[in-house]
Formats: sequence, C-alpha cells, structure tokens
Amino acid sequence: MSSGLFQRLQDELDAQEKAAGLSMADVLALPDPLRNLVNWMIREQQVELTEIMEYADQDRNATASMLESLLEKGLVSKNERQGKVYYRIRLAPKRRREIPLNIWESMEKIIDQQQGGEIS
Amino acid sequence: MSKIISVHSFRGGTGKSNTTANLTALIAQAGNRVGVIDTDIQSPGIHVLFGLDEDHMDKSLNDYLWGRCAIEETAYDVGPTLKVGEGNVAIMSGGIYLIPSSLKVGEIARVLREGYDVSILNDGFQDLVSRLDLDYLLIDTHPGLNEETLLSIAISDVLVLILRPDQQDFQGTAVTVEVARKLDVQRMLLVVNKVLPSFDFDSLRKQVEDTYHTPVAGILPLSEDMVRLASRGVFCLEYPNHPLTKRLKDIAEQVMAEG
Repeated sequence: MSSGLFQRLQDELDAQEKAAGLSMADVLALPDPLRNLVNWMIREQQVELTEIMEYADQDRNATASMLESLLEKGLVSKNERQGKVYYRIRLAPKRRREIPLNIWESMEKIIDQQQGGEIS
Repeated sequence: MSKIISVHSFRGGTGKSNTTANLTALIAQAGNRVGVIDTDIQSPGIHVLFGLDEDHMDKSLNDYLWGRCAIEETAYDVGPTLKVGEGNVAIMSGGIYLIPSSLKVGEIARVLREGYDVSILNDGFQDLVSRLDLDYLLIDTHPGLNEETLLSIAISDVLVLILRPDQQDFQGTAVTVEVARKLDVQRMLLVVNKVLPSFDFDSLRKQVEDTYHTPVAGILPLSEDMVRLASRGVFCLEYPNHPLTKRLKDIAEQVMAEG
C-alpha cells in the first residue's frame, strides 16, 4: 500500500462530516487498497496499531495519523484491554425503512383476527 | 480452526435455506459442531426445516440484536430431535445449534422500523464460534444485497452462491460475484440448483465456471422428492441414500476442504 493512499484517504476524510460509522455499501465504494484494509479489519474484528502497520506496510507515524483521522470522523473506534490498544471499524447501524409506523399495528391486528378465525 | 460459511443467492426461491440446512446436517454428521444462523430477519424460515416450533422459540437473533441476551442464549441444540427416514433419530456425531430469527410480526417490524447495529451482528458471529466451540458456522442470508448480507460475505471463509439455470439468476449472480471479490471473500463456490434432469450437467458446469471464473461445487437436479418433502425436514436425513443426497455430500466435502 503506497503512502499516497493514506494521503488520499486523509484528503477525503478532511472533506467529510463526522459519520456514525461505515456502512458496508460505503466499504464497497472505497479505493482498492483501502477497501482491502477495511475488509481485513472487519474480519479481524479488532487489531493493534502494529498489526495495521504490518498489513498496510506503513510506518508508525503514518499509520497513527491515519487512525486518528478515522477516529475523529467516527469511522474507527479505539478501546483498551489488558494494557493493549485495539482499533476496530465502526459499522454504521442499519438504517430504518421509511414506512408508515402504523402499518405494523394494522398487520398485527389482521393476523390476530385471522388466527382468531374472524377473517376467512 | 473454525470456518464461517455464508450461503447466499441474489434472488429468492433458489433453495438457499434448504441447501444450508442440508450442508449443516452433512457437516455435523461428519463429526463437527455446527452452528446455523438465520440472518434473513425480514423473512425467516430455516427453523422449519429443523422442526423448531415457533411456540418453543423462547429467544431469537432479534433478542440478541437488541441487547436482551447473549448470542449463545439464542442457540437451540436441534441435533437430538432430527429424524432420519422412517422416523429414526438422526445420528449426529457432531452437533447442530440453530439460531433462529423471530417470526413475530412486531419483532420483524421493529427491525425494519428501527434498524440495528451491524457491528453487534459481526460480534455475534465471532462470539458464537468461540462460546459454542463451533467448527463451522453457516449463515443463511437474506436474498439480494443488503447490509447484513454484505457483512456476512465480508467475514466468510467460504461463500456458497446458489443459482438456478435462469437468465435473471445468471445476471444477479454476476453482480454478487463482483461484490464478493470487492469484499475479498476468501473462497467462493457456486451451486446450480433446480436443474431439469434432462439438461447436460457437464456442459452447464463448464458454462457457469467459464462465465464467473469460479468453481461449481455441484449441480443439483430438480427433485420431485425434495418438492414433496416441502421443507418438512432436512432432505439428506430423510433420504440418506438418495442420488441428490450424494450430490449434497459432494458439496459439503468441498465446503469442508481447505481452499
């Protein structure tokens, strides 16, 4: 992975608002090497800085700076466990569907009625 | 080393849940501890094949996604209740743990209305494998492409894609194969299902492999016995000596083989 890609990611992140995480559809739209990195982090669940450095073939400063930007934008989360710091991709919550709220109450009523034999 | 297997199809009606249930049973019969999770939250169904009555479904995947319980609490050990032909209890040298999705309208509605945290689903897959000490976790997905399907594909060691010999399936599978490659899926296998027995299977296999540059693990003929069973059981257990069961076993062996 070339250092230019981290810079490209940095430029893209600078132009973005803070997000509630990455959707899987967002992942598909990432440029190849970054997508590979994100796919790998999702599969691994959580990884340490040194593991990311090794995977991306980047030095500590470039990797730490990239992670800080991702943290700031809400795309990565960081947690500490037993003295080690782990990073993980923040996946965006699945968005709700835009349907009228009362449609489900109506459906439940219909099903209850059907089960009660009131509707043939 | 445990493996996560996603079974997916671009369109509905391909026999995805049936194939998943059969692969689950065959892999368990080979001596493995197998989990099978129904992530088709909008239209769940695989529990029917394993004979899990919804009245006996105390907890489901939905409860886990909303933080009401740990993922392993939603797993049902269905191995002991499975029947083979003539009503005998199936011998499972491994074990089968089914994680169903809820069939309650209100619960399905809640998922559609409020969504859920996809990260929790990812954690759930990994926790299931470790806490139930699974050798294999099979994921029965919702057809088409949505967030949970994309996640399932991304974290899979093997993706089994089911298609029928149908132009719409061919086109949809092309899209799915492209997406799976973008998600760096480790290994992909195609299964062509519901093929008319009069078709030239060798020619079809070559055509599909040439089109997608992906191995075909098996071609399954449209079976009257499967249609008659009508999801009342797991086919390979009901018909252990059937030619279709032999084909399903071949696919299970390829799924279990190292890529």
